Amino acid sequence: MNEARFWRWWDRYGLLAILGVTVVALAAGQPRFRSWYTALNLLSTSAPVAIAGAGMTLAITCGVFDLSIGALLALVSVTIGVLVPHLGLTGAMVAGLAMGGAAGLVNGLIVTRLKIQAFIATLGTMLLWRGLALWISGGKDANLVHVPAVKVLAHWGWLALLVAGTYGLSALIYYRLPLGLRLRAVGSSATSAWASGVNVNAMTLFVFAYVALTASVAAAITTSQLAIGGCNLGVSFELEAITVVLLGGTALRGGLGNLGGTLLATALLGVMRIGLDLANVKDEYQRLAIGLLLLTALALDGVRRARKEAA
Amino acid sequence: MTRTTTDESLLVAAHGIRKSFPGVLALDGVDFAVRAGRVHAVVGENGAGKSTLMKVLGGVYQPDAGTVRVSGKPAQFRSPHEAILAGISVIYQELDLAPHLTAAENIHLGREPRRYGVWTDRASMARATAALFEDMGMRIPVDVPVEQLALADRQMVEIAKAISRQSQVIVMDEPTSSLTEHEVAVLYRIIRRLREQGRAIVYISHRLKEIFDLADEITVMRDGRVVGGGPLCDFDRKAIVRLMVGRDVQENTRRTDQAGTEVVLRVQGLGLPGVFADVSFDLHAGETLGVCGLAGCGREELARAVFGLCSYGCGSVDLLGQPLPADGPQAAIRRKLGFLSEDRRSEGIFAQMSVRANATIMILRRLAWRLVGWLPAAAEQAELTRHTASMQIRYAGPNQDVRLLSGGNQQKVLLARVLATGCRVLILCEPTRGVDIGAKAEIYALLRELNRQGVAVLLISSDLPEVLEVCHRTLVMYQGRLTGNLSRDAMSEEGIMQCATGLMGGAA
Repeated sequence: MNEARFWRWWDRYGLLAILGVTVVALAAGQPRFRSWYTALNLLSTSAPVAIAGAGMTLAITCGVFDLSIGALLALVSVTIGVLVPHLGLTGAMVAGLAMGGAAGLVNGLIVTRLKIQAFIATLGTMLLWRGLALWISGGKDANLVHVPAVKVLAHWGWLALLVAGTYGLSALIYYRLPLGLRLRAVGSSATSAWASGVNVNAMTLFVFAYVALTASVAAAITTSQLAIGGCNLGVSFELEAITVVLLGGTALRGGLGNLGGTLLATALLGVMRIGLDLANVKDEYQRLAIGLLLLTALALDGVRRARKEAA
Repeated sequence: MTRTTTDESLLVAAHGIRKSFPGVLALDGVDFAVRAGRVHAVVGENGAGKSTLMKVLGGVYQPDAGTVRVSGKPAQFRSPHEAILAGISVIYQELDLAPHLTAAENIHLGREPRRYGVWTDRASMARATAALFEDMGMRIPVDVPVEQLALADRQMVEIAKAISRQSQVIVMDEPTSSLTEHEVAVLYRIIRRLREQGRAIVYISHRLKEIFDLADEITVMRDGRVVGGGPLCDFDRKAIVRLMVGRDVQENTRRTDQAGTEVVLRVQGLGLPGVFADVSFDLHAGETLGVCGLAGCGREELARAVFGLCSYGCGSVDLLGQPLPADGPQAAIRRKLGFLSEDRRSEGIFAQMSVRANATIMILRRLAWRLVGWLPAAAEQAELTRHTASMQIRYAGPNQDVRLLSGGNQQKVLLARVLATGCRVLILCEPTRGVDIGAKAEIYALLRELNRQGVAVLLISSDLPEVLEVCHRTLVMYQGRLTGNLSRDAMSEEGIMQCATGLMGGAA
């Protein structure tokens, strides 16, 4: 296989190959890995990041980062916790999602109306949401253990459905709707999109609302899994989401997204965590390994781009 | 020009347009009208307000005062979208396509064909685009991200985009700046057909030849005002230039001085597989040597290879009698070779930095105090003054951001930057692209002065009159090979084009 063909192959299947090798290696080395429990474990630990990663993929494709989704996860969780006694579990979750979407619109309005860069604006609202979460909860997690059926979203069926639904909807938007093309155009070159008659502000508002909604779904899942409305949840969740998006091959500067890549990268990180846990590797070494993996993937990308430019 | 707004054939009429930016009055009460079935040329030096006026018509800028009427009805565009809906499409000079999107996607952006009113209909998008290119006589792939297309193809995609909107008024701001003769011919055909269809074309160009080829009417602008206009037949070349610059400019003289005999740059058997092959030439002290050819003939790549911006497969480059290894631009600069890219915005200026910093960036090591690295502002200023005095760069002050300067003035700053290094050999790629006539004349004078001081210039240019005017000699490339080496007496536009299209190979 010559070099150009290798890179083309790598573009398409590289992540899948790494995932495959990792799974085979773990299955061979760790008897306990070879069980259905591993798949369920993967689904329940990775579903929140996978779902928010889909939203983040569209956001980065459109050229914006949302750093506030980790704090938003806590805010939505706390909101659900506070509202359960009044609205019941379903009502509280719906209210939580609505609030998450509204928070996304606030981000979008700050960026489009006040003309603040997304990175800085969401850095600000990250503190804002976290502060609100602490304020609403009084600094205490709301215990939901006694709420009937609180663990419903922790069931694998729901998790699978929510992940599939989010990716289905995101892929529909990205690949099949004019909306997706316009998001890419804005991320690729906002001025030329604007001059072509694309409503750049509307696109920006949409992606912020969308990424916030996906983060809110992740919040509902986490709340259900832990049975708490936690004001300290989601610390560095936004970085995890951005990590899987970039590892998945979405262009950092916008214009080109890769939803399948995001999903695969989430699975890869999840599988590595499970494998390292089974091998009793300490958390600090786990972080080290994942950091190295990310740098390796990005370095490979850099090498490939350099080749492309030299050619 | 008539000012009766009830006139049916007036598609767009702007009256008393005024637009100011901080510190600049860009448009000062401009009247402008275009008729159906006419090609209306707008000329003026850089900074005259042409592009600003087009951005007002295109909805990019909102005027401070004045009215725009479309087919007699008052219109106020708050965005480009509204102007497009009103039937005005503008091909902007610097607003590029979305690089990650394909030609088909770029062309249909904002009005994607849909299936069942919901799905993006990619198949019909690709079909329509292919048909459009076919119709234009262009062979451009429709499903490749436009960032992978050549500059000229990208420009044609941009033109296709404006045409496909079926707008009544199409504004083209410097559409030919990155096109070669072939594409220019295609564009001419397109424009003439649009005119027959009763559309109005507003055509902005620095190349007067194109205007005499195409236009029916002309408007001349200077310093934000309209200084003349009417049917083109009422004007000759000289009158237009006089209106544009407000004085007489001497044009189309040939070189009469002799170049030196010392070989300062010797290129032998240079080749890069698939790009160029077996290129050999000598450049003498005090000589300006042109390199002509159509887009894709390999002349930009050749220039980049000589300077060390890209590698070459075989051959050698000797600079001032010593071999110059392909070790990248740093080595070349140290050896007194200078280079100006054709892409001023991404490979030239540092847009957010001051005029002074832009001019002195290459000689910081010389200006800064040794060991401590402190950079005395006075030394920078002295250097700036020394190299810009002869060029009349118009800028508000040395601390002004270079992005606020017009294209011609930015180019002069870049020239000053390279000259500050004291280079003996200078490679210039399209140094006057998008530069107005006055600044062009100044740049030509500067080249002559440099030649007189013994500096050799390798000039890559697609502007044939420019080559004829400033070069002692010119090379012509066709499909990566030298097909012509024309001496001053043998140089003519026809001769160069014959070599550039492979009809004739000749050495003189």
